[in-house]
Amino acid sequence: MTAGSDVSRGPSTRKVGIIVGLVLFGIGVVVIADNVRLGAGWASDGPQAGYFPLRIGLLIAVCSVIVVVQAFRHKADETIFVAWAKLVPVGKILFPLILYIAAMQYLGLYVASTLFVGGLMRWLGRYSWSKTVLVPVIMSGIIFWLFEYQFTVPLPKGPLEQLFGY
Amino acid sequence: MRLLLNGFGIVLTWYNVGLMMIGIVIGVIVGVLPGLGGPNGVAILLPLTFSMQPTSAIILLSCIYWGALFGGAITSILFNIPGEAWSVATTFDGYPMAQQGRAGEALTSAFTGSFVGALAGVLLITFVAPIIANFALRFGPPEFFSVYLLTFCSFIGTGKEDKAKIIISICIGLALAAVGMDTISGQLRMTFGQNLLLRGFDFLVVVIGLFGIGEILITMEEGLAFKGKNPDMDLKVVLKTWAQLPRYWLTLIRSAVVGCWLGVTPGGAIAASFMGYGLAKKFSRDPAAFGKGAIEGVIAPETAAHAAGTSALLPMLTLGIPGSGTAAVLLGGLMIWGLQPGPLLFVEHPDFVWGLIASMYLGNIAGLIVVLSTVPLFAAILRIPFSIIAPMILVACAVGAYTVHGTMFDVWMMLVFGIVGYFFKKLDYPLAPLVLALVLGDRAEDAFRQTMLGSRGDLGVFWSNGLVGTITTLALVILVWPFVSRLVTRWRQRPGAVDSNS
Repeated sequence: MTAGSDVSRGPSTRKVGIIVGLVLFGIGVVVIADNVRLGAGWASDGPQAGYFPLRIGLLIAVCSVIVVVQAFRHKADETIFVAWAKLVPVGKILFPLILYIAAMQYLGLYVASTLFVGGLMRWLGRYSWSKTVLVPVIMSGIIFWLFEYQFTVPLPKGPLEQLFGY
Repeated sequence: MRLLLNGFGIVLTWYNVGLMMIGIVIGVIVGVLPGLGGPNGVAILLPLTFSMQPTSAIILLSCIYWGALFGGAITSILFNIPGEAWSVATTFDGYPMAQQGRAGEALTSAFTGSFVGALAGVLLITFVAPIIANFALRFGPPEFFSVYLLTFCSFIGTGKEDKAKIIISICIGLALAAVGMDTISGQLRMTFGQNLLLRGFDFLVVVIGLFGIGEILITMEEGLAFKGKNPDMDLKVVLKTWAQLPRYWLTLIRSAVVGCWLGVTPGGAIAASFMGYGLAKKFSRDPAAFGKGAIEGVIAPETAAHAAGTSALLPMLTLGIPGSGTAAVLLGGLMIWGLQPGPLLFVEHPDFVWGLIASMYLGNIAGLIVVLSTVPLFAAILRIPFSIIAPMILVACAVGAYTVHGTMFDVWMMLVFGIVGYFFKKLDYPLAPLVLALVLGDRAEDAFRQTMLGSRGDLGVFWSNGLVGTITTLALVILVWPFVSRLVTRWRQRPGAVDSNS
């Protein structure tokens, strides 16, 4: 069955573990480097600003090396991190989310949220157009009422709100 | 006692009781929905409480926490999907009971067990917290640092994950906490010339990302579909179940004690629920019934989880050390409201402390009533398809992240931490220590540097008197214990060991 083989194929947990370990090692090195620049030693008035973080950076680097070495030694571990086929639904929510946050800067939070929820309902849930319009508009209306009037916490607004004078 | 009664007086205003009810309902929803856990739910709503009275704010937020603890059981029993990690053990017997048409019985006993556990936790806090706070008033920087050390070491020593991964998790949290302006020297650390990083990373944004976004991504991958049983809840079932419960008093007490213990130490509610279940099975007269719908198998983990979840607030209030992820978020809240967590809280803000403790009693009673009467409603929420719920939760997360400081940068950071959370969770990096370290990081570092200033860099100060010496030594013992015990087992198993014995 093709579906079965799709679910069983993907990057191995071991490989992803090694890559993440290397990234963490990189972070550790960055932390160390920046704190060496600041001065991680001992000044006349006690430990310098980089004293504590430098040691944290060292620990991150050392432990990430351990994680990577462990992953290299566990050759028998053949579990997959995530099947390629299952990455599709993750992408279906992740990419719209990125677009949504990007759109928020230009359209404001309310319009972007309406489009985001409506879009996903239509695309993933295959709802009728009437529901796809109604549900997100009501939701954004409630958020607007709550935040602008009840909590008086302003959220990002765009051209549409300006049109109405907000 | 007088202070506690005074606390009840503060809580029993219409405004605060109203907040309590709202908190419980939101909490149950948060507990029921995947992707909106206790820490995340509290983190999203925390910015909205900035302008509130601290006492009202903590009542609202702690009630969300109680609600989330209750709510986790609903999905476990009806849908076989734990809404929270601490209700995983509840699925073992809860779901089989629901399949046998005993969902009402299972839910009633779960909620009642939760209530008993929470009550045990609150009683512990009421009587023990003032004593510990009084004791801790004598703490100086070295004592506080050794307590922080103990917290981190017990995460490493008792955690089930890979030790290196736990250490990385804690250190990433500490490193993130260090970003921005150094509080002592005023120097900029790890900002790399970016003005946006001056303020450092806000733990709320990190929590919303790690727990909220990360959880949604994982749920999408697993493709959850909620197909569950209908709850048949009415007063008759509730009363009938209650009539049976006294029979299990020993299980209730055992789980409550285990929960309280694990809640105070940072083992947390998750470990407590499994341990409560395991103990109940071990001591049961009929262990074979477990896993097939034993009522004890529902009571035990729920009681323990709630006792742990509640007593996690004990070290938070008295020492400023949160015993769980959600307690860590609440602790961050205290600091934002301008309250300094720690023993002085009991002296300087008795109204706040005792108001909170009183609200724990009332909040759990209110919670029990709310969940018993409205289970069908919450079960209905779960039937809303994920394609509507998921984007709405993401909108809630984005709003929550934005309102922390009112910057878009935080929303992007939330996304980044969401992806980090997805990878960390799938690779078994624990998330709770990271959050804890992020919240405690600055305080731990300040305590360390103040100690070092006082002692001129002599580490011997951590053994300078009986108290600090005991805590530091205990921390180190807990830290190395797993390694030592592993070495001992290996040494015993080495070839030839048997010969030398004989």
